[in-house]
Amino acid sequence: MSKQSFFSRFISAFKIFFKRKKKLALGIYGPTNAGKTTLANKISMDWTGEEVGAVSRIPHETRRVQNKENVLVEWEGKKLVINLIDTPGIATRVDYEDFIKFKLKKKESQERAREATQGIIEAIKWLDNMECVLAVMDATKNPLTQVNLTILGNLEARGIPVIIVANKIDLKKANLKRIESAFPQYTVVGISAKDGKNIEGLYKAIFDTA
Amino acid sequence: MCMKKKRKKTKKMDKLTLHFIPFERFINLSSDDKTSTILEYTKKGKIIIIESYLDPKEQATLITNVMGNIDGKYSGVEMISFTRKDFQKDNSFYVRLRNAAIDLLSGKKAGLTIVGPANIVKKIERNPEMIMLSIK
Repeated sequence: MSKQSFFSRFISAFKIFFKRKKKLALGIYGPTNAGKTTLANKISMDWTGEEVGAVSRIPHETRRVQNKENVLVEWEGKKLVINLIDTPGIATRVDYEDFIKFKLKKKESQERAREATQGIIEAIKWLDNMECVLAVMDATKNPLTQVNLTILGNLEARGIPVIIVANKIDLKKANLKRIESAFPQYTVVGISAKDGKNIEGLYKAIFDTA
Repeated sequence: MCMKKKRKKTKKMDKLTLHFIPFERFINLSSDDKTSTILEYTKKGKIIIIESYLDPKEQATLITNVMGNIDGKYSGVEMISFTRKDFQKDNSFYVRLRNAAIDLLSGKKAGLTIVGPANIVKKIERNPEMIMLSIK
């Protein structure tokens, strides 16, 4: 067998391999500091060995939409190719003085605030590109916030399937039932993106929803 | 010293006014006009209560416009928008029928929206029973 024919066979096999699999634009949405990028990193690390972005306790660390394309996820014999889209945290307010509290300098804080506002606008624009969304909520906080309601309402209005990810269930204050009773019409999966607790439950939910 | 602090706090609360926009005045506005009205009020430091619900797309448009207006002086809004249904525990056939009739008459906009500038309103929180508005 010549080298060329082997190469073309490899390419066509590669194409068939990916053609057979469903490709899904999977967005990660939520308010700031809910653990969206930690979750994106966990999913990406599990299946590609690479991270998506940096995480920080300072709000608005993710200020641009960041992608990880062609993430092949396998679950109970099924395969799914995901375009993982991690979005900046949605907020109705951005005050540069909030960043100064985290000991950032004034100029740096103002620049961060400016970038954060642009990031929020970009995240909202990207809603139309999603095929399935993980709406991440901090399980230690009241889920009935306007940001959560706006995200869920917009996904529902666009007919985009959504899974609510109740993150940080490793923390004592976490209250999964509060989220489940606030949004009884949605699939709610409690996880800890930080330590991977019940990440299998989330993969199962993605395969069931996609 | 303690008295001084107390007086200051009272003075701040005295200045708080809530502007009310009735359903009839708001419902006929286009989505763009609705968000511009809200922006106009909140940029002037006013808290508004609107006798109408903002649908999710209008909420997203409002957030987008608010973000586009944030500068050193204006840091955004705190808001909540809900329908009557959000507080109803009774989901019986009669209640659903009554809701459908009200939605038909009001164009699914019957509800309430509260928006305040972020430099005055610290938080607007909703739990299943009540709404709490904290002032800075």
